[in-house]
Amino acid sequence: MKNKNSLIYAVVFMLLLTAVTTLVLALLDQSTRVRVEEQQLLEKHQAILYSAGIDVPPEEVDAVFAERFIEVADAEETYEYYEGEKLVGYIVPYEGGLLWGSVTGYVGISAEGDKLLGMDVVSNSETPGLGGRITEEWYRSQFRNLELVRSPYLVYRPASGGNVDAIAGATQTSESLRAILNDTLNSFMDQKGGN
Amino acid sequence: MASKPKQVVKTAVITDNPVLRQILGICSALAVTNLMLNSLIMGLALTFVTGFSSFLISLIRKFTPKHIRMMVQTLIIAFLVIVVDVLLRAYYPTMSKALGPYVGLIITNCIIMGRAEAFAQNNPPFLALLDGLASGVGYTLVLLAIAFVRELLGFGSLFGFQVLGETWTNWTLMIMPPGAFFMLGILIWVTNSKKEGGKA
Repeated sequence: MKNKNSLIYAVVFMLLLTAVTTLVLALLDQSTRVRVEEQQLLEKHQAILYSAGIDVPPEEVDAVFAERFIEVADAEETYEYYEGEKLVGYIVPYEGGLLWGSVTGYVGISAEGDKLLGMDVVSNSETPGLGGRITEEWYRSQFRNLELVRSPYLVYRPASGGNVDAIAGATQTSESLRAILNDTLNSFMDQKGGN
Repeated sequence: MASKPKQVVKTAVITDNPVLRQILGICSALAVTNLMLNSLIMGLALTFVTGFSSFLISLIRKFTPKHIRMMVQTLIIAFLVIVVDVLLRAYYPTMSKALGPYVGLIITNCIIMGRAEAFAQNNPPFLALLDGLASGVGYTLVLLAIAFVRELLGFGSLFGFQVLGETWTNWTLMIMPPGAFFMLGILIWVTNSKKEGGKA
């Protein structure tokens, strides 16, 4: 065998090993892609249902979504939410930057525009246990059926007129998310008012 | 030689338990042990990675130049961790979310590299596989023991099933980080004092 300590041997050895492992990973990724995409779609539908305030078991999510939500033609990712024939609200996407990375999610706004139906986070890359707590139930549930009075719609307590609690130890994340949500609400209201 | 595999398993699980005796893998032992199910999945994932990384490293040890062996070990460990991550995301998405960054961080678990350096590098593949799996089992058992107390006292449940009645008041402290430190400390203290006959 060639000298194992030679540079050439080491480089070739690493290259071969990397090629083999990468090949296996690529195959694995390819073979699970469809499943992962299905999961992501399900997660998205779950987030939309949560924003609308609908609570159903995971296996019924897709059916309920297909039955009650219609995508608005001229606005991407915005949905109208119907109960029977009646328009109950709108589900509007939001996205923006938090402390470490971007965040995406949905807010549900009632058809009259007078209250939030709910808010959910689809993806974020905040620190788990700190900013990552925006995905926890106690934080998200604060937005359920929240009255929308005037802009700025969301204000953290204890400021006067405060209606939601920020996350202790995650000021940047909390503030950024509040700004993103307020912007989203403002532009939605402007659009509605203009119609 | 007949007793060698048996001895390897006993050493890895009990005598030289990676968490309690070698104090390795502490980070994840503290982080994921507030629920038994999370601990179990984490333990299985680590057992898989430790076992097969030891196996693969041992398999190619004769061809691996000594001076780049750590690079090779890291590559193989990273490869297996990504396999676990992809499989969890595809087949167990809720667990993938619950464990979050800790799946990726398996790569930094010192037990894996420890076994690779201390055992797999100098032993045949089968023994290395056994040693890796046994170390993983040793780690899993400790995690489950800690999680048992934390979940029981913190949520009143085991594997998500409510076992303590309605009147039970949850010890929130147990599911927060301090609870993990207390439990791990107590466990190490108790096991070590048993082992040393009270001298430790």
